[in-house]
Amino acid sequence: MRILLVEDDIPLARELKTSLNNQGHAVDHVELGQHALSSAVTQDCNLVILDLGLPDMDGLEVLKQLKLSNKGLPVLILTARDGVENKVTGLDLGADDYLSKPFSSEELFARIRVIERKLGTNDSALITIANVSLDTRANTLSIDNADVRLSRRELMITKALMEQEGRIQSKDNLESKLYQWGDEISSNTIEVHISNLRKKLPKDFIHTIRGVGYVVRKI
Amino acid sequence: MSMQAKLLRLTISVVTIATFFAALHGYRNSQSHLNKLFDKELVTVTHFMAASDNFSPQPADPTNSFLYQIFDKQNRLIAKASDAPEYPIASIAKGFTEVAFNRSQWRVYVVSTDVKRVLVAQSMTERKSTADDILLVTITPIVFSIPIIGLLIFYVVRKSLAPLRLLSRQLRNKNSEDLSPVKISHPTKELVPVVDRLNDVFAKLNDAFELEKQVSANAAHELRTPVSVLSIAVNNLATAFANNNITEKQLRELTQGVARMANVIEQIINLFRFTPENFANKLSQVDIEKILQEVITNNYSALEEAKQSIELNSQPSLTYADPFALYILLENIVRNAIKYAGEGAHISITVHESYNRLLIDFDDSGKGLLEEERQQLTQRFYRASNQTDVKGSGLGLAIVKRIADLHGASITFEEAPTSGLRVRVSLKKAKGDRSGA
Repeated sequence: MRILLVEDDIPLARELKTSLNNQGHAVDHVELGQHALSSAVTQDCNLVILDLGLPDMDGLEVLKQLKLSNKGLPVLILTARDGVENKVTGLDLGADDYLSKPFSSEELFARIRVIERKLGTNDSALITIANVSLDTRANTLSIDNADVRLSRRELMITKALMEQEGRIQSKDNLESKLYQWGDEISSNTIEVHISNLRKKLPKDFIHTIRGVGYVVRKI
Repeated sequence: MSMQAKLLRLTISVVTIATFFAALHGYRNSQSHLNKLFDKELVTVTHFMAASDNFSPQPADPTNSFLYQIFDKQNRLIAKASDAPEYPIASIAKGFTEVAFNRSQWRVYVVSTDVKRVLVAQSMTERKSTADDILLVTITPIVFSIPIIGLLIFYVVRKSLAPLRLLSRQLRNKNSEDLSPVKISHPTKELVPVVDRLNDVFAKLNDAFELEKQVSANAAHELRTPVSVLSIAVNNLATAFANNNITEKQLRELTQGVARMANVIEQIINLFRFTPENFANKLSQVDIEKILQEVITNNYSALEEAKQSIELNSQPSLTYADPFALYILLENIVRNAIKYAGEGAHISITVHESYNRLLIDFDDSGKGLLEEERQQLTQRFYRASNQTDVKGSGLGLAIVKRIADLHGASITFEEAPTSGLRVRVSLKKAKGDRSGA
């Protein structure tokens, strides 16, 4: 994937570029918001990684203008600022994801993978955890290369859990994913689906964190 | 110019000016009264002389202020005072007039009868000096009282400004070393809020300085140590690279060093963010369950790494808090549990209500702490003695305590039923909620 990195801290940009290159991404680096805007128009890029603290203009303003010129261009925000307001404003302005410094490269790669899958540009839309493989494009699931039939809702839940492996998905979170499809949900819908999924998936594949939610652990 | 001198100068000037005008007014008044009195006397004397038939000339008397002339019908001088001139001093037939002779001003009264005309003159100089004498007698005590009034005013002003002077002297001696409260023994009503507010500010400033001192002393150590670890780790890696034998262990150590550094920096940022000075007190209604879920979610990977398990027993529970601060508070406790409970431990978080408080218990199945160690826990930078292998900044609980103080929450340490440590956070419950999910 071709990534436009907008970051004014040179050492951070250099390291990010190296690690993104290692992941097989092509990276163009600019240091100023103005350059980011002109590069995004003239060059072909699939993703913008935008630092909010830029020397020439407010990063949120850059985000706004980027989204004005190309609504479909995914933008991942980096920031050292804290405060929930900033995050909310960023996401309201159309940012696709938000990472606050300090972040690990793994975290960044995971976020990029999610965006890639959303775009459908990922060469392999296949997520494999242990012996379970999920093809996010074909929406099929296999265990030890043997296809397993899942209902659409079960697949949605599995996808949410597997895409964010190692991260707890709260019941609310999973419910809202189903809501997006306009489904009617009763209070125990998620529990029912999880219980059905457990019968089809390997033992202990989906963990319950009591009082919090569900997680598919990293192997 | 000092307030005292200003007040004194102003009041004494006002008193002096007022006295002056009073004297002036008195002078004018008494003079007109005196004139009437003298005139009356002049009339009486003149009428008396006109009435008496055989008037013998008197020898000149320098103390006598009166002069007289008596003329007959043919305007011939019959009698006169020795000092009086030969010619008639006034030409009018009757009444008052003022004339000048003998090099001075005279007041003259004339009475004419069938046979004679009597003129009596009184010296104006005489009159004036009498008026002056009377005035002097009345004014003198007032003039002498001015300094006494001045002294009285000086005393009163000085006495009532004493607390202010005391305050000013105490403030002059203040510096960043001494931020003790100022003490005024009998402050006037106007000074009470001034002194109170000042002492408030001093107390806050003192706290801030105290914190700064503590933090900069400890932060230096807490920051420099991980930096040293990093620089040594990088140096070792460089050597290993030269020898072409970099091990995964070395890389893992570097990662841990970075994580430790990051942790210390976050803690220090938090410690400074949640000071009473920049805590805006904008509390809103927040759901503790939601925040706890978020904390657990965001710290799940550390928990998994330590092969620990966690559970949350709660229902939506509302309190008033700054959501971000409350998050940091709860996260610090959870992180401590993960860090110190040991590998494979179970952490159980329970939210329950007691009267109008919300109690959050963080129980772990670790090895726990001794009674006295629990007491010392909240002290900033204190680290339990049975922990030598876990590296923390020691700032976490200080942050917890500070946020708790800002929210009127309390933190207690007990022994958990699972033999480990129980950290109990007690928060005020938001009023009138029994909200469902």
